[in-house]
Amino acid sequence: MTARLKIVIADDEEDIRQGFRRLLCKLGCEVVGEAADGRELVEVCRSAKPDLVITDIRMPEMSGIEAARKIAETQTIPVIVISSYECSADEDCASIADFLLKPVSLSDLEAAIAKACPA
Amino acid sequence: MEQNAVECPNCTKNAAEQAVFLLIVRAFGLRKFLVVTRNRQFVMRTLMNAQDLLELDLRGQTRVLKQLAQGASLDKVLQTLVEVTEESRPDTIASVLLVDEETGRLRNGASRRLPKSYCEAIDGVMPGPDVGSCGTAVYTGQRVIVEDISTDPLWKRERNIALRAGLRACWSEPIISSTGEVIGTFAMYYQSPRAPDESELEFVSSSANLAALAIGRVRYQNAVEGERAMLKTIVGAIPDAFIACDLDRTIQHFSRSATRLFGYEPQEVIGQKTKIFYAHPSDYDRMFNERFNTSVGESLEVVEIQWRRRNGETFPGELVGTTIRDEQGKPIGFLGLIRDITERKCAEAKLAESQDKLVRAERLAAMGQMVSAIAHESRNALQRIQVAVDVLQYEIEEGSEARDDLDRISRAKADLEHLHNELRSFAGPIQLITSTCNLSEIWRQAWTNLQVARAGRDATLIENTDEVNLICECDAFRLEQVFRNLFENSLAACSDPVQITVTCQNMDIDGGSCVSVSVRDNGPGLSEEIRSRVFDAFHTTKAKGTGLGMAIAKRFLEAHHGTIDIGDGYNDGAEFVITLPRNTQ
Repeated sequence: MTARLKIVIADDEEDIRQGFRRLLCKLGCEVVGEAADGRELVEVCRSAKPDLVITDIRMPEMSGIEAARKIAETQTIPVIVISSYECSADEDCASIADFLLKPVSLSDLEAAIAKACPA
Repeated sequence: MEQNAVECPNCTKNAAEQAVFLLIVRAFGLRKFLVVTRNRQFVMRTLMNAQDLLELDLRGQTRVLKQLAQGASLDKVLQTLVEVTEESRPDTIASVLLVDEETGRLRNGASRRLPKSYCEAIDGVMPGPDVGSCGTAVYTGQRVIVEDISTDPLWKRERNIALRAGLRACWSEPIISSTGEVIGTFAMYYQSPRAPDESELEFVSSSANLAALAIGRVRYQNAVEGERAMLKTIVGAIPDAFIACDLDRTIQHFSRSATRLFGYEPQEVIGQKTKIFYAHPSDYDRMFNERFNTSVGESLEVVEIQWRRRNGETFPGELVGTTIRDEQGKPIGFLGLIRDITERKCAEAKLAESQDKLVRAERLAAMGQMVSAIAHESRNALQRIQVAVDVLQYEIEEGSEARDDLDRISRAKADLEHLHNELRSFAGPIQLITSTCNLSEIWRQAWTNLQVARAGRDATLIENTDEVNLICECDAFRLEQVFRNLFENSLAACSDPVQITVTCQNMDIDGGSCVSVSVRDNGPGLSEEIRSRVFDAFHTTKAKGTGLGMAIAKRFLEAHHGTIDIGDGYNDGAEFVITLPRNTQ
């Protein structure tokens, strides 16, 4: 990755956000924003204008899927969804680039990022 | 009467003397008598006909009694009574009237010489305090002697009818039943005014008694026959087998429904012991101890017993047994009512099975919810471990002790994740995602995915699938897991060279097209202990295993409406046989 990929991460668990931030840094990405719920995620995306969103599904206020739909209304940002629930059909959304089941390993994450944002 | 006899005019004055007289006649066959009267006079009179009359009366009454004993109809018996009266006393016109049980009116019972017009006129008359001789006799319950109809006030209404019929005297005796109820009259008419003498009064009274006996007997017989008919109808209508036996359990009665139930005709079993109906001789003995012996108390408790039909078939039936007693309460036999409960038993078994299924389904659903909740929370925790391990892998140098520790954490996390996945497969909700698949591709994929486990092993997969249609509508991901579990178990159990043989067959189960897949290895096979528990959850023979693999395989196949069972072979390796409908819908 030549230019550092700007990523926003959203999860209601602080430890997970913290872990992903450090891991993404190791992978050479720049975490430009964090959100603990869907509504915050939409706002952060509006101001930070990231290249990629990595979000949990179940969060307070607004789900990750709902947030992805809102974001897609104004911006074109690929969204990687990471959830502890298995994907179900009604969670289909055009802007969702990939769906990963927790726990996500480093290799899974790298592959998903490469797929969502081809260099 | 041509023979002469000495007799006393008083000898017929009372019944006792008459009886003594008669006895002498009968005992000695005497036709001639010298009788001393009370006032010690010998009286010669041509009254020998009184003796003959008595004998005639007696013979007549015997005729009536004989008919009664032979079961003749009431009409016939009463008619005979009238006949013998008129035969022995030619100037007498006899008549029996009966009281209608419903209306209380008088009806013609029997008569021979009474004019038809007179009979018709008095038929239906209501008894009253002054309704001729008979109507009054019924009303008062007392004998009524009318010596002259033309002048007697009791006949004021029927007088003309009677006189027109040429009747001048009428003596009527009420016929009184054993319960004291007036049920008719016995009447003697005469064509000239006349008063009865003692013997005639005696005769009218004994004739009425005889009529009472006849009517009582016949009515009782009718009542008994009516009850018998009703009882027969009731017994015939009982759907249960109705079997009566005597005290030593010899069959006396075998109902139609018993024939239906057991397949025997009554003549085949009557006279035999009831033992032939019991599927188990021990039940026959037990029923002796508990019910069919006179020393045990009465009980209407229902007993469930296995019975045997004529064709050898057995069936479950409920028995209600009781003691039959005579009028004195003395036991004379036993009665058994048997009801076939095969259908009820089947329904109960089905109900129990479906309840069991429901309970299991509910338990599984509850467990599924719990497992899903645990899996969700665990995944977040596992994610925290994973991401921390991944970060640390960048920071801790490979080969260091700290890195080894990190790897141990990582492996523990992987095991925990595997356990959660297995638990979810075993107890979580299952929603099949089906597509049209070739089964051989599925087991080959499973075999390929075990590459790591097979590394360094001499293991071969042999396929016998000639001419078998392997295309199925199924959830490939889940069936792959089934094959993977089977292969993993075989690899763990067998020593090299491992040979796993997959053999397929086309099958038809309940009209549906199925495929059966046998997976057999060349290992030590399954012991009896393992065979009985192989599909139990958390049962494992491996050092490292959740013990859920085969339970999951069973659950996945059941979700496909298929089955998985242990094969028949004992000595040549372990064999599992899967059957899978080609179309799960």
